[in-house]
Amino acid sequence: MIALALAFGLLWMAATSTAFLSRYRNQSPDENIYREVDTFWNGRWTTTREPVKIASLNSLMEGVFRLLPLQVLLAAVLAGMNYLSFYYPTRSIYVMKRLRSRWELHRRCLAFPIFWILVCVAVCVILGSIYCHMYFHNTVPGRIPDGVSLNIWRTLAW
Amino acid sequence: MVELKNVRKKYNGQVDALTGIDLSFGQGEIIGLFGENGAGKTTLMKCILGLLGYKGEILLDGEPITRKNIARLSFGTCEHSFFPKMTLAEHAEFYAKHFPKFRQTRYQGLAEFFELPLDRPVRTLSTGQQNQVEVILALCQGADYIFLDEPFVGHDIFNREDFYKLLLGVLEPTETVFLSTHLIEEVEGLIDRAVMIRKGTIIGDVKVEEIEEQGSTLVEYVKQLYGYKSDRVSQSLAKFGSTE
Repeated sequence: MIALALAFGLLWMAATSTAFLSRYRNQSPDENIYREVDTFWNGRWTTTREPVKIASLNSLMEGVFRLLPLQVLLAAVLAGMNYLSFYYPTRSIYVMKRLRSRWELHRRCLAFPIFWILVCVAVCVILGSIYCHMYFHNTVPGRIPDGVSLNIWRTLAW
Repeated sequence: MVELKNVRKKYNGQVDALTGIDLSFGQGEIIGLFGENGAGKTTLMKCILGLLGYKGEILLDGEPITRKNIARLSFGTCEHSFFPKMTLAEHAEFYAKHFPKFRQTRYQGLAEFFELPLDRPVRTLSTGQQNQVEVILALCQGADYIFLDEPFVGHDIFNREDFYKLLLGVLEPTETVFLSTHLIEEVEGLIDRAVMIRKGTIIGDVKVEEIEEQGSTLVEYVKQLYGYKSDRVSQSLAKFGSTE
C-alpha cells in the first residue's frame, strides 16, 4: 500500500514539477521581445530598445519539487512500519536479535526507503538539470536577467 | 553450559520480576520450568536470550551471550516469532542463510509430518499450525539450547502427544531443551529435570528421576512445594453452602 503511495507520489512529484514548463512558456523565452526605454542622456531624451527580461530562474523554479519532502516523509513512515512489522503481529524481532549481524534488521527496514529517497532525489536532480538547461539554452540571448542563480531550497517551498 | 549468577530483573525499576536467580544447565538436558502465571518464567527466558536487560551475569560456556554466540540459543514462544508474510520454504531459506547449523532435513521432516504447506505464508495457516511452525523453527535452528515458552498453548492433546514423542525422537544428545509450561503431568515423562519458580525466585530444582525413586510424581512434588491444599475448594464450597 505504502509502496503504491510512493510510486504514485513520484509520478505526482514529476507532474507537479512541470509547472516550470508552463511558467517558462508563458515568458515566451524563444521570441525576441523588446521594450522601448526613454533615457535622458547628454541633455536630451533618447529612446532605446532593450530585450524584455524573462522571470528569474528562482521564481520559475519556485516550489517545483515541493513534493520531495513529502516523499521523504512517506519513506520515513515506511521505514517505521518496517520496524513495527518485526513487533506486530508476531515478535519476529526475537529472531532478528539472534542473528550474527546486527545490521540485518536495519538493512531490511531501511534499504528500500533509502533507495526510494535516492530515486526521488535523482529524479529531482535530472528534471532540475533539464529545466536549468532549457532556461539557459532555450532563451533568447539577452533576455536572461543578470546574475541568475538558483536557490535549491526555493524549489522545495510550498 | 548456561550459567546464571545472581540474575535480577525489575520492571519499571520497581516490580521484582527476578530476585537473584542462580541456575546452570548443560548440554543434553530436557528441563521443565514451572510456575504460576507471573512467576517469572518468560522473564527468565528472555533475560537468558538477551531480549530483556537484567542485573547479574549470564554466561554461555563461560562467555557472555552476545551476537557472536547467540545463534547457539533458539526460542519458540507462544507470542510467535516467525515471519507472518513468509512461507515455510522462505523461512527455511532465511534460517539457512543466517544460522549456519540450520537443520534442513529435520525441518523438512517435521513440516512433512505435520502436513504443513511449504508454499503458503504462515499467517494464512491455522493457529495450531502456526504453533507447530514456531516450535519447528526453534527445533531446527541448529541451536544447542532450545528455549520453548509455553509452546503448546492452543495445541490439542493429540498434537501435544506427537510433539513430545517427536522431541524425544529428534533431539540429539547434545541438544538442551528448556521448556516452560503449565502442563506438568504431560511433560513428566519427557523432562529430566524440573525447575520451579515463584515470585521471581527458584524454589525447587530437582531431577525427575529422584522424585520417581521416592515413589512420588512430579505433580505431587510441585503441589507439595507450592503448599497446595487439595481440600481448599471443598472447604470453600462448604463455607458458601453454610452461608446461604
